[in-house]
Amino acid sequence: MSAAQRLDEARGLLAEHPVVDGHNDLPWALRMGSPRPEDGGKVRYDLARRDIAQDQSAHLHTDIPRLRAGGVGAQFWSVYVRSDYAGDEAVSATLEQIDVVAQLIDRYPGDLVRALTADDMEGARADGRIASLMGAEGGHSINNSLATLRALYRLGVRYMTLTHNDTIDWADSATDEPRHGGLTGFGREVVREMNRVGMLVDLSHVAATTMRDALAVSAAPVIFSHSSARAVCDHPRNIPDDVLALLPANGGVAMATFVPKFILPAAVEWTLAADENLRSHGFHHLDTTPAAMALHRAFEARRPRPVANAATVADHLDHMRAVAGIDHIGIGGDYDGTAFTPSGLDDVAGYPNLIAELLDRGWSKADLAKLTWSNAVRALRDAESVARGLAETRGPSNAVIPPVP
Amino acid sequence: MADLQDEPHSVGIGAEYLPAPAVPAVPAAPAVPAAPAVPAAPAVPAALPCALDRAAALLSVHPVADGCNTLVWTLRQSPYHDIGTPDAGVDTDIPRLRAGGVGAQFWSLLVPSGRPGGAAAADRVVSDTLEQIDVALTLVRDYPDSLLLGLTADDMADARNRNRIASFLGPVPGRTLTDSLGALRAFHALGVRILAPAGAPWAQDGLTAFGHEVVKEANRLAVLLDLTDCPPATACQVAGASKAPVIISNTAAAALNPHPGNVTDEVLLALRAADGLAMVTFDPARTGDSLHAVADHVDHVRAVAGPNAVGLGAAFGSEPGSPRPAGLTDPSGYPKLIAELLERGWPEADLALLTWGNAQRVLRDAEFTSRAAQHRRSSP
Repeated sequence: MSAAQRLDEARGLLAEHPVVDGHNDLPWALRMGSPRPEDGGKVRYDLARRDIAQDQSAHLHTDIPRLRAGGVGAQFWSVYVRSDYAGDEAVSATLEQIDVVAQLIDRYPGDLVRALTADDMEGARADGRIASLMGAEGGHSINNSLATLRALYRLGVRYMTLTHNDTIDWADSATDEPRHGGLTGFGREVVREMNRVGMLVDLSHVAATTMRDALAVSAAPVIFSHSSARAVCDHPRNIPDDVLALLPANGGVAMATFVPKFILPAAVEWTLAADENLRSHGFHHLDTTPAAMALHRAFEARRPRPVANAATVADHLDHMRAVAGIDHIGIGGDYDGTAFTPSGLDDVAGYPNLIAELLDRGWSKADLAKLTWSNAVRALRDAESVARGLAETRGPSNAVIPPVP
Repeated sequence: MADLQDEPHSVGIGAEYLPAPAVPAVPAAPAVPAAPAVPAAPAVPAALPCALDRAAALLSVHPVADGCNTLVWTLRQSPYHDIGTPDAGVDTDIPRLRAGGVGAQFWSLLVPSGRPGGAAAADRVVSDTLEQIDVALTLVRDYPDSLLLGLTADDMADARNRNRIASFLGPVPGRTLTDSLGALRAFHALGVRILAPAGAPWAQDGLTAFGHEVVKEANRLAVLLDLTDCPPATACQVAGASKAPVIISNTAAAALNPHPGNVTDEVLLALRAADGLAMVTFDPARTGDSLHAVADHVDHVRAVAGPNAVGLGAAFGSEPGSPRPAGLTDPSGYPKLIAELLERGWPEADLALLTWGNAQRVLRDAEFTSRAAQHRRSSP
């Protein structure tokens, strides 16, 4: 079968079993997206200027035509806020991110539809619209308050990543100094409360110790909204095999991400060197000011950036499938949350290339339908079912972190 | 339209359809449900010997829509209170709300200033408010046969027809909004319908540009602005800037008692001009410590702001220890105040506005303004 035929087959498959993508940072990209000087940089979310009904490939990985071309049927929009935000600033910014998702859904009613449940996801698929769910990225968004967690749920948030890049008061992050050895007592209570209300526990970004603690506590399936396999590429953002092996018993889903600096070993090294280059010139390694970008371009000219592709992602999925099983894997691209993307998976239109690669590797249509659609829908449905059961036996938790004496 | 349906049980229908009054029915009860169209009959006192009976009968048709109760904060401190039963540990419970003829309650979500926690608490205004909302929603959910979440003026009528207490969430503090309106829309989505600008940086010395934006967005969402504790100049400015009526959910007349929390005649006149609503509190520090003193303030507000701009906002909801005017120590006292006003010669039509009609009209006007605004304005 020719490559073109494979791609057609992939597109046909996605028409029936579209992609549920676990993580897309369009809300943050819209928040930050080039404010006009005449607004003094004060207007966030200029939705008219970044009209995603039109081609936005000059500015964004994501727009509706490309989501359609990519066969996306459900998207968890990340309502991420920076992990150096704390207290009210983190909560307010999260509310704003939730608000902009509502504005997007209102603005494009023919293409996006609010989804709060697994049934809503199936309804959207039957309707031919893109089910729009929300995920919060980091426990800093709830400011150590379980009532705030419940407010996020009521506002439509259906997963929360326990940490972002920084360790917080109750959970260790994969990319920061550990302070707790995983989850604290309050952290375990957060997981229990998420189970009770029906919010999925997302273990991307957290330390492996936190993953194991959360899996031990959670009565509902967990997800990894955008993480790949550590055995394939040894980066702390990826999932160790012993954790992947816990997913069948838990019922959870690990959604492979496309971020080159996490999935391609050569890119991991290259990124370390590039970050060091910026730091050695006195910049923060995530700085995107013109001066920093100029330095970065010079570095890239000296040392070409290694490029990942669909096969890189497929390598991870093959491994994750072997360890966790076909019922426990999914896709979480992290589009608009990463500067670089793999070749062939350059933007949200790229998913058919990944499916074609997996068809080439002998994945069956039934397997691919699980990967793209049904595993993620099942995880949410199971979390809803667990919540119904728990709500009969427990009221809302009002636990707090005990003040330090 | 819907307005016509607000009064189906009070106009042209016999008293047998009315909710049972809290006191034994009196023979002349059918005369009580005086619609505003019926001229106040000075002859009525002869037919109704006891003002308290008349007050109770009136409240059974035109219940109290009270503008302020701080029970939510009290429950957050002491979650063990069970307000389903007479609870001596707090001044508000459902039996006393029922006995007092309360049919709608605005549950304040403000957090007292000077609470413990210091600097840590200062960075928790938004979370604190979300916690308050959570407690209020839990309260409404826990007493479904008595409380009904109120989101619209229709819900007020609906709650009355179903013998529930319409429970409106708010105000939330304006200082939760720092430089964007996303949080206001989130509060609205969670059920909040009232916002208090007092203490917000955008409403300190008059409205800032952002403050004007907050007012517009509150209008667009049909969130009422509660000007309690705003400086007079700011209050007048907000009343003028708002396209929907504004309220002062708990106050008293500065002309009678120059307490800093009391409202000046200038502001009362601004409310009158803006079809707003000043709701009189039962706080002895602000009104004086007797039922008569409270009635004097209600009289004054009606005289200056007009019968369409006066309401009640007692600010019950505390644990024992808060001073209260004699006779008005808990929500069961409203009939006594209404009886006092009847004896002072208030027409029943004005009393019906005081207890219920003005609050419902303000909510309805806000919704009308909101629908009109949404034609003109999408989310900023």
